[in-house]
Amino acid sequence: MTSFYSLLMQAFGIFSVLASAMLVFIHGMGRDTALLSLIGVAAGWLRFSLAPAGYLTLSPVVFFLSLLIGAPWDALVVGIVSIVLGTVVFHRSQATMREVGEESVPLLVALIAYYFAGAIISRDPSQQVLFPYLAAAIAYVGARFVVGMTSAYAREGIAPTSYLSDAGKDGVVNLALHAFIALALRHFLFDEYGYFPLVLAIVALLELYHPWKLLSEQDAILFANLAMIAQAIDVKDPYTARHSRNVARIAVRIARAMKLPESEVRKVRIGALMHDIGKIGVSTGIIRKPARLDPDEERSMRAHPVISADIIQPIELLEKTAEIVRHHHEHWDGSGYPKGLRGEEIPVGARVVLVADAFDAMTTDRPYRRGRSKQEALAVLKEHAGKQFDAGVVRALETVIDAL
Amino acid sequence: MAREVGNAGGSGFFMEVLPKSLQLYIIGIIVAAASTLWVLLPSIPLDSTSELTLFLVLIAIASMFPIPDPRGGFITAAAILFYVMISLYGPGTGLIVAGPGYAVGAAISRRWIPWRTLSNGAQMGLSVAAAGVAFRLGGGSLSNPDFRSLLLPLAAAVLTFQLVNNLLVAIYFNRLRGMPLIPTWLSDVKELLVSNLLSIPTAALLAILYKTAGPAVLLAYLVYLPLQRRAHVLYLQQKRIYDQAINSLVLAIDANFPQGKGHSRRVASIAAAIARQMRLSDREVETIELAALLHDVGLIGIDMSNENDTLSDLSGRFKEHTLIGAELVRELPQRGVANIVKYHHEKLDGTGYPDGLKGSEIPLGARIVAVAEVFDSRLSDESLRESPQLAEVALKQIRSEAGKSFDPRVVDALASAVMSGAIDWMSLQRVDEDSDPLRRGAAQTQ
Repeated sequence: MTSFYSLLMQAFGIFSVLASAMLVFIHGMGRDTALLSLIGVAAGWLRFSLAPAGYLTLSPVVFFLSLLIGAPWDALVVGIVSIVLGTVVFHRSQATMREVGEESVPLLVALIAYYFAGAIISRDPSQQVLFPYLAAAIAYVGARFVVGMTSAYAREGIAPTSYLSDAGKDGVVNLALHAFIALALRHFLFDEYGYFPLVLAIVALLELYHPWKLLSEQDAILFANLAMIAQAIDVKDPYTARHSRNVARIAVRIARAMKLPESEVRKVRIGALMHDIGKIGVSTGIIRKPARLDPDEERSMRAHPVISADIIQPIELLEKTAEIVRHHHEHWDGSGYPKGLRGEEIPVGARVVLVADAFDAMTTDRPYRRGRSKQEALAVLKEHAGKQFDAGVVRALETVIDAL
Repeated sequence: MAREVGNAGGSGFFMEVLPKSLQLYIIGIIVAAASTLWVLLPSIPLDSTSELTLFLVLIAIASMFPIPDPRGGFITAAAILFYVMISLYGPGTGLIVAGPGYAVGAAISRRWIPWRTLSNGAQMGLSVAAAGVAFRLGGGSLSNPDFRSLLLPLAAAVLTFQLVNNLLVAIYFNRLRGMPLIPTWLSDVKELLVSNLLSIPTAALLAILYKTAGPAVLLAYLVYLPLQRRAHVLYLQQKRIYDQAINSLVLAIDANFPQGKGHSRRVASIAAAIARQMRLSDREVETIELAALLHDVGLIGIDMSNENDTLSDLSGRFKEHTLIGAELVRELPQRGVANIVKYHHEKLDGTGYPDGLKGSEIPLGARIVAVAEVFDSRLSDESLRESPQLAEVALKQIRSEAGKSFDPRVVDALASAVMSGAIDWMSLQRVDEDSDPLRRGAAQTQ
């Protein structure tokens, strides 16, 4: 599913780049198209992520503007050029053909809508621009939404309902605003003063959107930092080199398959990354010991969930996450530690992390044994479901196991 | 955008208890505002009363909700409205609309203290009027907006506003708390200039739209303000979590280390002071400070407690911490940090580890962290603790190694930073007692 979707979008990206190159080759590039493309590239500087998936730039404003100013095919060229050059110039590390594809599908959908709407009302000259424009804008926003939702589902397992309530909603609101802004700019500025105020407007929009760019970058820095902390712990045991990050990845997938709200998924992700941070205080000799631990060692090992939780508790807004970390060794039947909670008493995030932790531990190679296959590991988990593990969580793992 | 005249004067701060020179200043500024208004009165378009009233209300509302600035202080969103208004209606409106509007907004959102409200309004009015004069003198007009006729005059206006407003605020605090006048003024101007200049395109756009689309665009801008405020608040919250997470990590790093508590944070402060002394850019200083904070992160993964090891085993394993640390830090998006962590044990003559780099092959940041680390180690040395000339002794020891282990330029910068008081050992020690990064930040800004 994932690879099929990515391939499709990559193919579409290549197709639209070639198509716009051909358009430029046949029609040449007019002054308007060139200027608008340049503005579009600049607008691509501002790119911010939407939670939990997807991102926005200001390029759509320029695409909408060019629909209003030039010929529709020129708008396609402007759209593709600003996407491709904008990402190459400003966001090279993130540039992928798949994203070009994801962004050009809506462009094409918008153009088709524009032509259909234009054909319907061509007899009424007074509405010749506005009606097709509105149809194109609605089609564009709708297509962006559908593509974003599909992408989030195919690539990260985010349920359409969660997408709708976060990224989807924000995306639609912002893109609709962009369509409206473009209309206002054309009507109040371009008709009277030409390109100067348009450039001004794009710069002003970049400045107005800047706080959101800062915010989304800071979020990325925070997670990079948490990943680094997790990695610092994992280095203690070379056989668990990427353990915390793997557990986080698996736990997020499970949580999404269980349709937990994205705010909870975020906590699960942080909790899974941080679940072993308390091992900072446990001697490396104990962590690496292949044999059974003696009672003293066992006790210090068993202290780590509490230590972990105590370490992250003081971090504001992570208190809820601390509960996940504290209880990630509690068992469904009450035989776990530190509290011996049972069943639903255990926070759902902790139940998810327990399963993800066990699954990753079983499928990783160790000095004293080879890792099991995913299916073998799943069979073991199923066997202990209802005793050690929450059966619901194990079922959720089963549905996403192929994507892991 | 304008820095707020802080919450000077808490409860019970009335005119009688103000310093005499401040009383004189407040009376002077009000008289100055009144007489400027008298001069500019004929230029005010009094037939546009309803538009000016709209501006008054919007400025008051915008002044009521100061937006926290990520770099400290507050942003007054009203500044953009000032620029729009003077470009449309001339300098006199600064005194008759901007000053009163700002004073009313500030009085509603904080507290009505007559002397403060009056002087706030007079200061703001004079600054905006000065900006308006600069706009006129610069040939600003909206009849055919382009770079020469709108953007340049607006830039002149913004610059003037900034200089005058910060000067008046600096005088105010000079009289109130005896803060040095010129340094306060210049540092405020420097700090706020960029964000102020960035507001020019928005102001120019709103002014043009005001003419073509009418006053309604100002309402659209007003709707945007709470959104901007929310983004800033979330950003600051996120940054706080980040600081706290880094803090937990730093505590964990120091727990692994014989020099113990506070070492990483002290090295970070010293390295940042050296970097600033060497006049590196803010960005580089930030990178070096973060790298210094995390320079020993690789120690977390290293077990130094196994009794069966020989000394050479231990030192070999200890040396690995630079490589492990660099690998870990590579997770972070900030570039340049990883190489500083990797090479902070290199020596200038090539006898260091891990790669035996020489001279300028070693990244500057790593040379700085190396000096900062050894300075902190010397100062933390118990045997030297009692010596009154502690810093001088440590500096002398380091200087003897300059050119061999350490970069002489970095050592010089350390020496000047110590002399000028930019590095103060006593306050550095307090940092480790109080390892809350937020309070540390607060202490720096005081």
